[in-house]
Amino acid sequence: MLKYITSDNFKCLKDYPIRKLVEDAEAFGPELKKQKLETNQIRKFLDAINRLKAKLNQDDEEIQQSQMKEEEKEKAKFAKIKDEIVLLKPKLAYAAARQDAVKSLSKVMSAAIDKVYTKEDFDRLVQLIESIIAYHKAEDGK
Amino acid sequence: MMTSSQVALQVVQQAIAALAGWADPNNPLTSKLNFVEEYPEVTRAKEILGWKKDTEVGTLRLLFDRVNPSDELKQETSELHYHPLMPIDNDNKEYPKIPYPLNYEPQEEQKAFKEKIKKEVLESLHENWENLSLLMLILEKFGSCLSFTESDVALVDMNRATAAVAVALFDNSEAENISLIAGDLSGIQKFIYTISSDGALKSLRARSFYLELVTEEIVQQLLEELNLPRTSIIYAGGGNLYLLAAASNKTEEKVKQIQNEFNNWLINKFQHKVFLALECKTFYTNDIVNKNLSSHWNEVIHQLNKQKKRKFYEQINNLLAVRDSFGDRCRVCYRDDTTDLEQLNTEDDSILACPTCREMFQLGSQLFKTKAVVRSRHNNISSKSDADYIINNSHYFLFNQLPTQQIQNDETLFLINNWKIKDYHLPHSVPLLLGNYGQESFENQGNFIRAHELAEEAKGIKRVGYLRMDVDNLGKIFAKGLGDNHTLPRLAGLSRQMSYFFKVYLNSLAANRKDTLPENHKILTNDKNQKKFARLNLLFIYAGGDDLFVSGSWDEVVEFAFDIYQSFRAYTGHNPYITLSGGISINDVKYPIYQAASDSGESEKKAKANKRDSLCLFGEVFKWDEWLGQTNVSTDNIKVIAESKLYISKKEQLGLFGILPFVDKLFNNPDLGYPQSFIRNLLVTAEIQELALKKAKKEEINDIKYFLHLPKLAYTMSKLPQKLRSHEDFVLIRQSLMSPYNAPYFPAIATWIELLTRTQA
Ligand SMILES: [Zn+2]
Repeated sequence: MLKYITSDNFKCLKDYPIRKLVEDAEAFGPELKKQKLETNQIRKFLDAINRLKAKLNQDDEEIQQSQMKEEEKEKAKFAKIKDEIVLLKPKLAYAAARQDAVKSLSKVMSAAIDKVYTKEDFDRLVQLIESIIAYHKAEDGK
Repeated sequence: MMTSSQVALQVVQQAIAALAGWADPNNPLTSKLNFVEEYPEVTRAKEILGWKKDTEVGTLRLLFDRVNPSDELKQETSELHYHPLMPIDNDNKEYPKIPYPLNYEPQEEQKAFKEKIKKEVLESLHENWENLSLLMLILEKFGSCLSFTESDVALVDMNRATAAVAVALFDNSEAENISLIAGDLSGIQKFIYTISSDGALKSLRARSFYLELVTEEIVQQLLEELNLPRTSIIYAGGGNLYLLAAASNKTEEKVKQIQNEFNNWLINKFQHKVFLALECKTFYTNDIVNKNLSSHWNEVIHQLNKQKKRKFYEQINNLLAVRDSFGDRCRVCYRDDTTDLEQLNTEDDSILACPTCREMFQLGSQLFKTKAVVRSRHNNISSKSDADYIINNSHYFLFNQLPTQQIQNDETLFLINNWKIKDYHLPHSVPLLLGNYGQESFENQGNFIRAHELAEEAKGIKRVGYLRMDVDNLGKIFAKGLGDNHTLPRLAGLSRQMSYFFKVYLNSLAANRKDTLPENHKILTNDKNQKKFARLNLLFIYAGGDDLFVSGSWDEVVEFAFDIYQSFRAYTGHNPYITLSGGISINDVKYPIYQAASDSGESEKKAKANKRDSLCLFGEVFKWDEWLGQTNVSTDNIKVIAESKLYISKKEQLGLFGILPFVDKLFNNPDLGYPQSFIRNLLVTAEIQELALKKAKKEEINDIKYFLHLPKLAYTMSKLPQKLRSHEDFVLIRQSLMSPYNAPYFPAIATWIELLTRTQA
């Protein structure tokens, strides 16, 4: 998965095909389980993702009421969280430093974050982490 | 003087003699006929149709096997099918058994069937030898499963076709030409379905019954005016009719005259909503048995359509013309051209309705008990009737019991869905076949069940279901389905057997599920739950010809749709070209019925748009093979998912495939005990997927459709209690549900279960 994301196959994360993403997550989630990753170890990272997600979907009156086109509104909204996305990386690095099991996840996510330029890229990032975590948790139920 | 009925009678007697000769070679009938001189009309008709002196009755091959309306050779090397040897009878039951075809020729069964004929027919023939309608019934009852002249031509169809041709040659046995009369009542749907009112279900039923009588009245007037016996009817029902008559100016004049008279009456009665197109087409008599018949047939249908269009233009003129309007409208049909508005029924809050709507409402109250109808040209018939309806100057008297007194010579006695020979001893008794199953009301016995009762009887959510269904590509099947074998007896046989399914066997299927489902059927509710298994809470609104409109408790309507499809496919020998498409709408009791009719119609259209052979239910459209599903199957062996296979491109072994197997495993498995939240999570996932699909770029659609939901599904299922997850059946469910091949189905699966388990209204 890491190889694929860091490859030159695509520049923006939105071009990560959903099918490939799901199939990769399906393999990667159980892998993390084997490495004894616990979700509370990356809690802060997941919280941060969720916060950004909420912020992005929040109705921003100022933007909403402006004369901008729909497309521009999206851009403006994304601009507000853009810097914070980059801050996700240190959060992961911090967790990884303390726990070996977080390392491989951290590598994958960092590589993915590097390819986030637009809201669409961010949406795919959310899909990616959610899919990995879903398959990771599903390992418990097997 | 010889009459046309005598000509018909002679043909019918000869057919009966052939039947008798097959059942018992020593019976005296054949020798009896040897002393009778054959009418020249009969001789010529037999000659044309290939009926020879030594033609014998035999077992009957399934005519549906022959049907191939496509330009290519048949897709599958199809099996040969035969009719089972059984009469159409309801002697000890309400409705006849469904004759599912056999995949072998019945041999050993012949002896018992011959005995049956000897006992039930031959012994009473002497005293009824001149009774044309009784002999016709015998041929229909016992001769629908036997062949004559050709292995796939039924005795009854050969008999009728020969009689019809002989009568068309009446007094002119060498006539070069013959005439096909075709009629079509258009606007029926409009008349039946565009009403809104209380007690609407039974009014709808009354309307469709009434139109059946109107069709019959048109036929009757044609027969009377053209001096034809009933054997001349090729097909009649549901607003369509085909008759054979002599090719003459008289025929054409009478046809025009009857059409005009009828349309005048229809305009008055239905305010331009219903229109009769009637045409007559003359062609070479010999074309009855060759390929040209099909082009004559298509030609006459083309003419009917032209008439309908012309009528549409006339209607526009009519609408533009100043018309009386009294402002106040009938609250049922919305007409505003009459001041004669009265309360629809005796209840205080009853709405105001026009005379026609009041009449239909009343008819709806009587129909449940009606067993027989007498048609008479005058109003003083000898038996005491329960109601009288006038259709273009003819009286139709309704009877809750068979009338005991002799009916007069110019009257006709219609026996509804009655196949009992003993009831046909009165002359001019004819069967009236109606797809008319209806559950009795629990609250108001002797009446049809009402919409709110249907809702209450439903499992889970308290809703009424409405199902519309019809045969795919019917026009094409009749126009070119028989290819080089397009002859009158086969064409008559095809339409007879098609309409039998909707008029006769659909009743059987509704009323007696246990004994009428085909082999290897798939069902949701098994007979451990006897009451729900029987799924009797249905009320047919219309069934006949090639289509149906059925209401009922929503859960039972859904199961009935699955039953109908499987039964129809078995009945037609699983011919890949003979399929059904349907649409179901599930509604609140208060939902206007015309809207429900239009919704289920829209759903049916969506099913047709899915390359037919499909069902639209819960807003989801799939092929029937996807709804019915399969268990323990390799994707290699599932034809219906060709597109998925192309995209997913890997072979899988699926424990469960499709929709019904999942619903069955989840719903019929009380010891699984999954929490309600599981189904709700599936529905939420379905919603997310649907939203994503709306926003998706074209190249992402398949990815989203088949894969996006999988992580969520995996997670949802991992959250379930340990005991459930380790349950053998659930392992199967989980593995199968996680296959992208089943991705399209989980919203329908979840919706179905959700509605079945919803406790509040
Ligand atoms: Zn009205």
